Amino acid sequence: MDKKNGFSLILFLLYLFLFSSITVCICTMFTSLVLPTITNTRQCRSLMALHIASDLFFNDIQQAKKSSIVWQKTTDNEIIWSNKDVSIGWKIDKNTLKRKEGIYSLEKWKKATTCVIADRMEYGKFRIEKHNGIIMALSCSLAITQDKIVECYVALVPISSS
Amino acid sequence: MRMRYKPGLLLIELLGGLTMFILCTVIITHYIIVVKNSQQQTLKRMEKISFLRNEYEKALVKNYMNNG
Repeated sequence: MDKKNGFSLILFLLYLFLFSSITVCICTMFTSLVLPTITNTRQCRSLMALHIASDLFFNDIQQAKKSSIVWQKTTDNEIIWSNKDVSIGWKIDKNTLKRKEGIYSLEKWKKATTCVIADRMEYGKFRIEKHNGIIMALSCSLAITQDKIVECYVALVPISSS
Repeated sequence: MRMRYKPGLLLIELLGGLTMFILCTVIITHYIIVVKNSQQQTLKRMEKISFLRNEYEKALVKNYMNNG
């Protein structure tokens, strides 16, 4: 049988040290760079979803502005308006923003379809700006954390041509 | 019975494997960071557009109130 020298203890320790250092470096990079990045990406996606939701809210009211709006309900967490033959409502319910479309009469929905526009919010709120009893503007604040708030402001006044 | 000689894992193979592993990790990290950066850029644009739209709408209401 041939005599086999193998690794010396010093060499083994050196390789072990080298391998351990590289592993520690990779773990450090992963925890300090990748994990916060993944968290950030998730938060970014949630914020983008809120922006998209606020865009939908804005477009809905812009569309409604084209014909006469009859306000059925305007509270902090729900607004409902009626156009010619259809009623549209936006509601913040259990950290979820919902849109309803159907027929609203006698404070009840009939034949309504509900869509979840945004979820996992920390809070959401509608704000109505009135002047002499007329609704001048509507705003919708949606937040995923205390400092990450998406606000959508919609003017309900007619645009002057001048 | 004749014993067979088995060389086992060579140091060069170990280092090669380790390098491949590091390379893969770096590529994945790079990809994750690129996605994050592009998402942040998109979010910034969205925030800017949203801010400008809100300001425009606020100006409309202000203008209407001032002109009666």
